Amino acid sequence: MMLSVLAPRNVFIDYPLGHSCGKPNDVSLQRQIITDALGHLIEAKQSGEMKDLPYPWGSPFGWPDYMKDIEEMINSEGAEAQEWKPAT
Amino acid sequence: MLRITADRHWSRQFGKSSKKRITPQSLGDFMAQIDYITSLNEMYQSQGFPPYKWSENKSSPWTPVTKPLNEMVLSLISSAGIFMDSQDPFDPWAVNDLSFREIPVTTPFTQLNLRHNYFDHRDAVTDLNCVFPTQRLAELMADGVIRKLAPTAITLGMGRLYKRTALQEETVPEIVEVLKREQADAAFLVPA
Repeated sequence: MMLSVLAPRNVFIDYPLGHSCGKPNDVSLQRQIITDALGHLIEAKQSGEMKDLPYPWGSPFGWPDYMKDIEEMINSEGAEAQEWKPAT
Repeated sequence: MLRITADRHWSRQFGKSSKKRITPQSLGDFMAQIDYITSLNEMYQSQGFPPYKWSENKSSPWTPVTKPLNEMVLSLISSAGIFMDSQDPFDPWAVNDLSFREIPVTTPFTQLNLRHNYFDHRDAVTDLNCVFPTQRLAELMADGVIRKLAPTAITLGMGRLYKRTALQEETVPEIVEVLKREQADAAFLVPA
């Protein structure tokens, strides 16, 4: 999605959605991620330039996990599932 | 604008179609990157929805930086569906929600809420800094890394948005007015 949207300056971190600025309560990691991103603000030389951050998530995650986690989240919170159907 | 994200469409970059791309994150540590666009397209089209017209920008505007970071006013924009107790809540399953909230960056997290079900928000709910890093940015301001964190953060509840033109022509100009009012030098965009 980032490459499609193409903001003027882009920083990518390979973390699950909902963790763009790091892991919860990991202050040093969050600070490092943001500091690196701010550094890119200054260092980028051309529009659309992208910087990859080198901080690993630490465990595998993939598309099935994305959907499973949302379902688990909804169930744990007792939230209503989405009721959105194609127009007929 | 500076955008930090955890989503990248590798297949588009390399001209291949695949749900995952492998890239080394660190020595000996390989992790598949999720191709959200392809995966979401396949999922919703299998349910009978028409193809979604993803934004595909071939270029983006460029404004050179003219001052060092420690002289900049930085505005925070987050699409994590965060709002204050006193504000109208976001619909966690929002479709075409073009609204945004203005949140004083000094608002305690205890007075903020997150409603967004298009990502697993459980970690973010325990520490909003994951997607709304006002505390971290305030610390960086105190340390002199940036001159100032703009007083008002902007939050959106971006779910499924089909009204792209309305977003660009109605919502965005209003957000820009906030940034101008607070004399922002740069916007730090955190997609949830």
